[in-house]
Amino acid sequence: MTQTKEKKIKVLLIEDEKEVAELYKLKLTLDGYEVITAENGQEGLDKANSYRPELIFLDIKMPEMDGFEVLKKLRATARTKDIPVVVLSNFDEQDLIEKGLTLGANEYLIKSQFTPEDISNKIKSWVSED
Amino acid sequence: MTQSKKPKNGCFTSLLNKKMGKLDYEKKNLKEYRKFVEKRIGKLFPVFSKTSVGDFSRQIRLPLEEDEFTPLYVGTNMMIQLIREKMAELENLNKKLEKRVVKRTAQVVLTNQSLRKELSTRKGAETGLRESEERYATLVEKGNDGIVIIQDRTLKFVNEKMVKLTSFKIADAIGRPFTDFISPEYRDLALRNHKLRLMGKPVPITYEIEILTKKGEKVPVEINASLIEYRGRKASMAIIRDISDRREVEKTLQEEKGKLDAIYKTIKDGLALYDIDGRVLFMNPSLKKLFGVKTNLFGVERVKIAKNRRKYFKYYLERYDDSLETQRQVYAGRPVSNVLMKVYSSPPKYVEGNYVPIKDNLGKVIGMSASFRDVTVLKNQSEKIAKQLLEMEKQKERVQAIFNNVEEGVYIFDKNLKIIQANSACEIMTGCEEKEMIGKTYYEIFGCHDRVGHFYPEFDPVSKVITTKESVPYDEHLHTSKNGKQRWVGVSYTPIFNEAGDIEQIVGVVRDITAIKELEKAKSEFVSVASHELRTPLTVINGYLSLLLNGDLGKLESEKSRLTFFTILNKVKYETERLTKLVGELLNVSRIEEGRLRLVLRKLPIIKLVDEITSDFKAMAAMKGVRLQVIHKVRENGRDYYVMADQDKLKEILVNLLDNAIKFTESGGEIVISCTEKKGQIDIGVKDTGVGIESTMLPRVFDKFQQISGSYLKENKGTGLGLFIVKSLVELHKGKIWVESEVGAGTEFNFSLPLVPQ
Repeated sequence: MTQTKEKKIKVLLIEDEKEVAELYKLKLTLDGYEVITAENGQEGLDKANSYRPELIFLDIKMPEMDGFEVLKKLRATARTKDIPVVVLSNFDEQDLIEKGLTLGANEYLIKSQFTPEDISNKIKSWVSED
Repeated sequence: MTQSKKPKNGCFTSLLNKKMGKLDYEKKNLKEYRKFVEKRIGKLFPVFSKTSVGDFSRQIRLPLEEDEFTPLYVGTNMMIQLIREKMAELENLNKKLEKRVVKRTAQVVLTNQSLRKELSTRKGAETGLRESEERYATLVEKGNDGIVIIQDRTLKFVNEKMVKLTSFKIADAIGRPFTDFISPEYRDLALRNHKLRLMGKPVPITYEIEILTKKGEKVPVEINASLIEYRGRKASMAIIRDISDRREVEKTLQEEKGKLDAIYKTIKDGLALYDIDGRVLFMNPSLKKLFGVKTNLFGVERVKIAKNRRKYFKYYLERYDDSLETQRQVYAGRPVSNVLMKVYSSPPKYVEGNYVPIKDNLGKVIGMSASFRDVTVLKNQSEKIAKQLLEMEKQKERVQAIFNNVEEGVYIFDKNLKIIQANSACEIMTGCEEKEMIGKTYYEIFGCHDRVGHFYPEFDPVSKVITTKESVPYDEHLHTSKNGKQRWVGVSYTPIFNEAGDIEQIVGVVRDITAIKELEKAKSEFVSVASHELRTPLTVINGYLSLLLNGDLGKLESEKSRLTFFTILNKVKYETERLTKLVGELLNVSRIEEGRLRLVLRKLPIIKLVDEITSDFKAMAAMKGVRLQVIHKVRENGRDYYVMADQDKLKEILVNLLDNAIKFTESGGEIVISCTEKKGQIDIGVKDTGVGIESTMLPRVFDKFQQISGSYLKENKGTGLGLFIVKSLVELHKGKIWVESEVGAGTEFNFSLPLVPQ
């Protein structure tokens, strides 16, 4: 699903696993999205503030600051509180999923259960929700 | 009540049932018991009249003594009382008789004299005859005694009293031989006395014979005869007194004596009577048998016996009292009961003695009666009971020791759920002293809720025990003690029932399982992190493969797409290797934790090995711009140091440490590998100039996934299993590993292995 060249949707990918980040960036770029990546939580918060993306993909297990803390801060900041956030994690424990949703994530997806294409295809639905 | 109450005096009841047939204990009230005693005494001592037994049994009061010999004992005591009464009665009667005899003799003598006087007067003087005859008539005819005069062996005179006594008419009697009126066995005696009297020879004045009535019945009489002159010739005058009443009394007394004697002889208990000076008056056969009495002790002082029992008794006797003091007490008027003694017969017996003062009508002590009972059966039973009690006491102590020392908290609740006991483990868990907890309910001490978070009273397992009457075998709760400390506990509550089947107490056992819970949590975190780590490479592999299959990366014809294709294949290969390594490490961890990891030990030259492995990493280090340097002291003779090690595992240790060092060291940094011999050990150090580790993290670097509670989400890249495996492998080689680090300056890992001779 390729984007029109006039107006690219900005997606922020907060992911410390370089290989995973590259994979998603490759697919989303191919599909016409503007992909900004952040290697850790702080960088993610900074980039969310400065770029104001239309969607944020957020990993949970990260050094220094985990995804939940990032999510809390995103939701506590006026500039970012309304940006849809989709958690992309390989933790599938029920309590973590509930925690993510409670903290204001729009969705909590288990990475290994979705292909990059699945993710890419869903972006529209999250963004239009806004 | 489903269960009938066990009688306290079971011994008595069982004996009762055995001897008397079934007797329902419930019905055995005082009335029943009295009846039983009466029946039993009646059987054992037929000598007692029903009335006297009744009188006695009415004296019995509840509670009854637990005593299988009660009826026998009551009987014996009755008998002693009766003997005393009879003896007094006998004595009284004797005294009365004596008095009567004396009086009678005096009377008779007086009568004789009067008669003789009368007769001689009559013979001598005609005057006064009339008056004299009147006197005579009064004496002879109206007296209480029969009077006869015998001459020529025939009756010459018979008075009215004799007629009354024998029913013969005077006319029928006069002139007949006097012996006709005497019972045949006494005829010779009477005739001989008469003859001797007439001859003027000494004859007893009084003697007893039997005379015959008209009907031929025998009447015992007392004869008081004397020689007189009757119508100018010698004659016998006999005054005859009916003594059948006296005879009857004497006979009865004799019979009573015989019966009492029989009782004395047949009774199972030993009986003895002592006079006022403590001399033996009587001892029954049972007593002789019980103590093995050797000689006739009649008249021997008790004091003397006590001082030299060996002389008098066959068996050695051990008394648990002061025998002489006992005697003093009794003679002072106080009964002494339940004196225990042991008789060393074969088998030895335990005997219980009871000493009672004998008092006269005025209450003065005149003697002592003693009874002795074989209580061996009872004694053995009581010893058995004492032993059991002791055993119970010990058991109680053991239970108490367990109670005090178990790690589990043990609470004992009453039926109102109030704590009545709590052991020291409870004190540790709650932070309260036992005395603070007593009288409170469980929930006053703890905030207590179940796994889902239900709090008291919605959640109340202790009350549940009361309502369901069933134990709670095991449950897990979260306790919050007063000081705010939370701990997971495994609990079990067991009701203790009374005889009626109602819950009397509840025993609660509370075990602190916080550590187990933490371990469980750590385990589930481990699984969680491990599966996360496995999924990450899979995500990448799957993702790229799907992109390839989708044609997202274009067709392979063009040079550009081929390049992309190879790049992607390399990524997939890298992730597959990562996955393989992770699976291998997980397997290793699992083997280490289950103790299944086995080493193949060989003697290895350690420096040569370190050199080889280090050189393998030179290329990798150089690529990252890191210098790799080995510093070691080889022996002067050029020979290596040796360790006993598994070559593959030793390699794994070094590879892990070097891999980490290179990974965390920036370009331009340096890694130094050193080998140093120290007191039979070789120290191998890997020192880098990398980012370093924060001091708070240092103690945890060897843990799996560096499990700091809640922090596993912030794991650094890598599996987090490497250092755990390294440490385990070093320790399996009997070595040690340690780490020093400073953030920004670098990290140094060191491990030592024991050296073996070359």
